[in-house]
Amino acid sequence: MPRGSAAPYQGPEGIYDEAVQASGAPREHVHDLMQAVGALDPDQLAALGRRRDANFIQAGITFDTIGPDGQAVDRPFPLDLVPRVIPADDWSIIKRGLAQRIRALNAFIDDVYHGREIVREGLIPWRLVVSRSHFARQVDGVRPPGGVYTHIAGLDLVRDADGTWRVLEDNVRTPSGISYVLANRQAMTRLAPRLFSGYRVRPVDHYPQVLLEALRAVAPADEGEATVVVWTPGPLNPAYFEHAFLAHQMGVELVQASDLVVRGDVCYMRTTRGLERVHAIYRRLDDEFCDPLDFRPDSVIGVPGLLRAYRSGTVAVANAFGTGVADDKAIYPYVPDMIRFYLGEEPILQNVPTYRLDRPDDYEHVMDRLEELVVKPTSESGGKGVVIGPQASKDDLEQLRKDVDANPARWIGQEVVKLSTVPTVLEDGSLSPRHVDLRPFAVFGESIRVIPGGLTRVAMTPGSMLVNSSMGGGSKDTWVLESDSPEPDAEAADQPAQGERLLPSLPEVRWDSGWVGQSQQQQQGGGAQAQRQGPPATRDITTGEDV
Amino acid sequence: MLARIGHELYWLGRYVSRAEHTARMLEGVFAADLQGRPDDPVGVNLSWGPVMAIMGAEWDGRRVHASDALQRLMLEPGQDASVVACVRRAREGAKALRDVVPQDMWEAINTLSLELLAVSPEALLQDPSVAFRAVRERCTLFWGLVGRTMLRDEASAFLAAGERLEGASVLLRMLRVVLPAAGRIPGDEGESDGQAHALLRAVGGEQAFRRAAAGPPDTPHVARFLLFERDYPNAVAAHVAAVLEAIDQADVASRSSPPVLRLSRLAADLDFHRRSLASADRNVLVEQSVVVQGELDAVDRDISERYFAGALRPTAFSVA
Repeated sequence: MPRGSAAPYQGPEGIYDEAVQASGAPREHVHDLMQAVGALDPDQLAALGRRRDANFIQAGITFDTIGPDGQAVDRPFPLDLVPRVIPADDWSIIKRGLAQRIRALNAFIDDVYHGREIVREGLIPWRLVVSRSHFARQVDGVRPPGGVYTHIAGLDLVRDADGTWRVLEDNVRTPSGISYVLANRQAMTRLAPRLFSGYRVRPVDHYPQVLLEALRAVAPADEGEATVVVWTPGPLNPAYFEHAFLAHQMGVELVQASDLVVRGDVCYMRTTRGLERVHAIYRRLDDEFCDPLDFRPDSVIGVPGLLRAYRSGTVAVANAFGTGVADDKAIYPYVPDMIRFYLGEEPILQNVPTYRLDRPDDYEHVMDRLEELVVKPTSESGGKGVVIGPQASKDDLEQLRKDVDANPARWIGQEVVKLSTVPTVLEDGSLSPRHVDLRPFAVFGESIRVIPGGLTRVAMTPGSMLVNSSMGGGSKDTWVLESDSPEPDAEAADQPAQGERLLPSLPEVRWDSGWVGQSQQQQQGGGAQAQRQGPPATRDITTGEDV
Repeated sequence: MLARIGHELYWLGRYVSRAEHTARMLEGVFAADLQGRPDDPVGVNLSWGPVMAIMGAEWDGRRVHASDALQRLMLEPGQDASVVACVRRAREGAKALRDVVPQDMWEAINTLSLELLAVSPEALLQDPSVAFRAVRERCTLFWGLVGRTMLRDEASAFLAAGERLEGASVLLRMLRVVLPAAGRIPGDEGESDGQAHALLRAVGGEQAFRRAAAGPPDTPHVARFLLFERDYPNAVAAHVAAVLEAIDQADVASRSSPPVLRLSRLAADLDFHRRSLASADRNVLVEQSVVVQGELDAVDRDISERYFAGALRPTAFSVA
């Protein structure tokens, strides 16, 4: 690939690079893109980078990081200028895998707080479930409106050495980052419109509408339109930009605790016209802060009585209280079993091989190979406390050994995944491979919809695999390509059969349920003919376009 | 609309308005200070002492130095009443309201805040007109943008209510300081009229007063003009009418709304007194100012009770 005087881009040895093959030739789906990037010389790329930073600062799209001196630094959200491309075939696997996994996690949460079938079956020890810090005994026996717990999920995916997609983490509490997906796309279309030529990239900007629909779908409103709000802990929260952005895009109120009040069993917000009933709350804070009466009594950012309203079913909270139990890293190894148990399916996306340190066999195994594995605390997020064996110093490993010995159940061990790499622009404008992961976002209302792409996080230090934004990671615009085949992909038709709907007991009462049934029949019955003539008109409704 | 957002908008309006009025007054006094001759009967004598008193500071009647007053009322961020403090709070409010107010309005406030931060005390004393002009122009731009870009909904209504209530409040403060100060020295009508004239200049109403043919620029005439003349937008009566209009528009049930009822009464009273007090002396007018100020404080409480879930902020400000 011609790049002026700069050396051609090369993937690192023994690691899957998403842009070039081992031979150095670009992969087919990024061929045009690499050529377009190659046509820009390093100075132009560096100049684009400066324009991008200036734009982000002006628009207030920033992220707090901890600088070397321990002080918080507000810097522009780091967007890399070379997009990451995911071919349509890969994406169809990912979205089905995600939908499957989220359905299973949702069923698991419902089970944990109700029948505990999976525990009786002996698949997961009850002791493990109740000892999770996010297990909420306060909501035992409470089924949220619509039976949906994991309204918004952002699962972390990685690709291992042969390019297989694997799930690294399940984030079903309050995954953040979607606003950056949208901001990144907008920035890329403005900064480098030429890169898009020759590609049909699936849009992402409908996410706020999808989210709003999902929240309305689960809101227990008897009549009229449901009132939905976004609940932020306040402007000092690092993700406040995202909260404000989502509220603005959905056209709903961004509330703080002082705006909400519970009278009797009903949640209201204080408006200039008095109290107004709230039907659905998209909350961006953890369970324990939400209600000082039932959770932490010292929380000053909670709404007293909210849990009472939630219990009586007058308000939907997304994500539901108690979902954190499925988010825990100690539960993660059991997710494939959950999929088999609840859905009777084989997992489409595999886990990274994981060891539970409270099991004697696993414990021995991990302790022997500490310097080869990744060890993570179970109840943390954002990369806190993670020790990567091959990169850790002797002292770190000794300390880790002591910590794990003190309480083995608080830790898991994982095989090191050699994260795939993608070309990334350095400060001088040259390209270099950097490790990435992917956080696609799924919204669960009536059905599960996955937004094409997601947040690709980049580890900006050479060789590093820590991609967390709070650890100084960057991001990339992530393109999911439209399928090339003129015929609708077969998967669109069989999707409802895949278990599009979660709980069989849920009534299909929404206005479009008739359409779902009808178009399903059309596509399955006389569908062969219709499909040859082109996509059926109702396809979008059936498939939700994204899943 | 959320009560908190309404409250923020109302106070955004008040802060921008307060910054603007303070700067205008300082500018008027500064100009007067340069030209004023104590022995000139129609000269302009509103000096820095009364200005400090208007802004709520202790003033013992002694002469206050221009540099001191300017510095404290323009640039001292620790003084609640200073322009820079008002702009800073307005900026904080606008930041919290970035979803509600158009981007341009946020930028106007943000730019003003940056411009004021760049003014050094020395530069202010050298040539205060730069800072005055910055405040005046940005605030005018801000209100222009409100008129041009903001939807005529609750949001703009609360913003306008805050702006006009603050306008009336500052004006009443001025009258209450200037009128009795003028009457303090018996037989010294010349100085008092000079003060009234200066006040007229400080609020930028000199030309309007002349054109309205409201009489000679002596204290009673000026005070009546600034209190009752509804056709002059910076008169108390006009401000009250504008607050009434804004609140009336924002309220779905305005007929039973305490602030609307109170404002209607006040507006009618002002209209009545315009004629009934046509030849009243300054003592009556001072009394009237006190009554109106009291009513406006009650309106402020009513508004916050009815629309902002009872949230209040201290309206009094002080210069230590």
